[in-house]
Amino acid sequence: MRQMRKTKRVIMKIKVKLDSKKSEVEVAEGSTVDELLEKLGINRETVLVRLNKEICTEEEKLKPGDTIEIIRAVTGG
Amino acid sequence: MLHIAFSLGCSKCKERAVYHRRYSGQKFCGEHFLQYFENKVRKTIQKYKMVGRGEKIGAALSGGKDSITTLSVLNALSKKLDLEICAIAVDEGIKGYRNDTIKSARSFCAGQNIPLHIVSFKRRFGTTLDKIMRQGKNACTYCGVLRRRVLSEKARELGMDKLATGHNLDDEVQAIMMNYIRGDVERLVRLKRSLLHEKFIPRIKPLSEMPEKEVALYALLRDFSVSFAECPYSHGTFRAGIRDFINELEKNNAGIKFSILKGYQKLLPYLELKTAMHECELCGEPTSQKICKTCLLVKFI
Ligand code: SF4
Ligand SMILES: [Zn+2]
Ligand SMILES: [Zn+2]
Repeated sequence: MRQMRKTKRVIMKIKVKLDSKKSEVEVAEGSTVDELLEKLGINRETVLVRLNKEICTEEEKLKPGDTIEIIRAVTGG
Repeated sequence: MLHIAFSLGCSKCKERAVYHRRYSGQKFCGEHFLQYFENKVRKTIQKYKMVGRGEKIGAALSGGKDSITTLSVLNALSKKLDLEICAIAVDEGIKGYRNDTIKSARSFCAGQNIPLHIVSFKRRFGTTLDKIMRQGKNACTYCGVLRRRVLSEKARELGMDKLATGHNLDDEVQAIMMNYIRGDVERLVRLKRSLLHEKFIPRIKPLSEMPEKEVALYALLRDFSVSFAECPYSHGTFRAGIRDFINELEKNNAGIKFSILKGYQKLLPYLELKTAMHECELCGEPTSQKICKTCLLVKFI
């Protein structure tokens, strides 16, 4: 942990589940859910997010190895 | 550290928040979100005097989150207000979509002991939306008009006083913007004012002041087995474009959906609904034209 702080932009890997597809996304250490969504080009107004199975706000900070599930809340029909 | 823990917590109890309501700055834990949501829907129902004591309410049920939430909130109110609730589901005949949502509708009604009536385009008009699509028609135009018709007919047949639909704030704001952009003043007025005709059953929209994201969260927290299936015909429509545009605005201007709704409500008193209602020459349903929209569309299928 101490070592990681020394380097400036440490990348962490987050497991992302979206539309029943799984992938791994790299974000900078200390990123929030909001920043992850931004990176994926997803508008936070249109989704709900589960962080390690629990529904969370977009301000929640991510840790290496976290699992994020993005649920599309706004759909057509 | 303490500061971070606090800022992520519910504004009421400091428990871990599941929702940040940006336009008011409040954060809610699961329990307080449910409480807030149900209170606000009840207040909306009161504010617009949507239901009266002892009334019979038919709720249009698609099996999606909006209609299941509407039905559930009305059902919870039914004892207190002595309401009689039933659900009406429409099967438009959209393969791979409707089967799913009707299944959700069935299991919800069975679990809550709510009578469910299913009406289909096939039985009423002798065709399905899929078939109409194959003729190169605009799906949503047909779907909307025909669905409104079968719902009205069923609600009247069942002797309902009101017909409740699951339209949420996003739906309302999209409709307002679409009509502004098209300059369709008549439809703009009709959004709020029910058509006055004895045959016309008044519509109510209990979720009309709830953002769609909040409705989705409510359904998720309540564990409703709703179908999140998306209609295959919803892509690339004018409405979908407006929806994305409004959500883009909302992202950077929290509360813009409410201000669009409020602006519209301020405008309403200055708009007059000029067209008189009479009965369609072909089918006898109330319309502002000689021949109603349903009869016009049905002629071409
Ligand atoms: S999106 Fe699908 S369900 Fe909605 S109006 Fe269009 S065709 Fe009908
Ligand atoms: Zn709380
Ligand atoms: Zn007619």
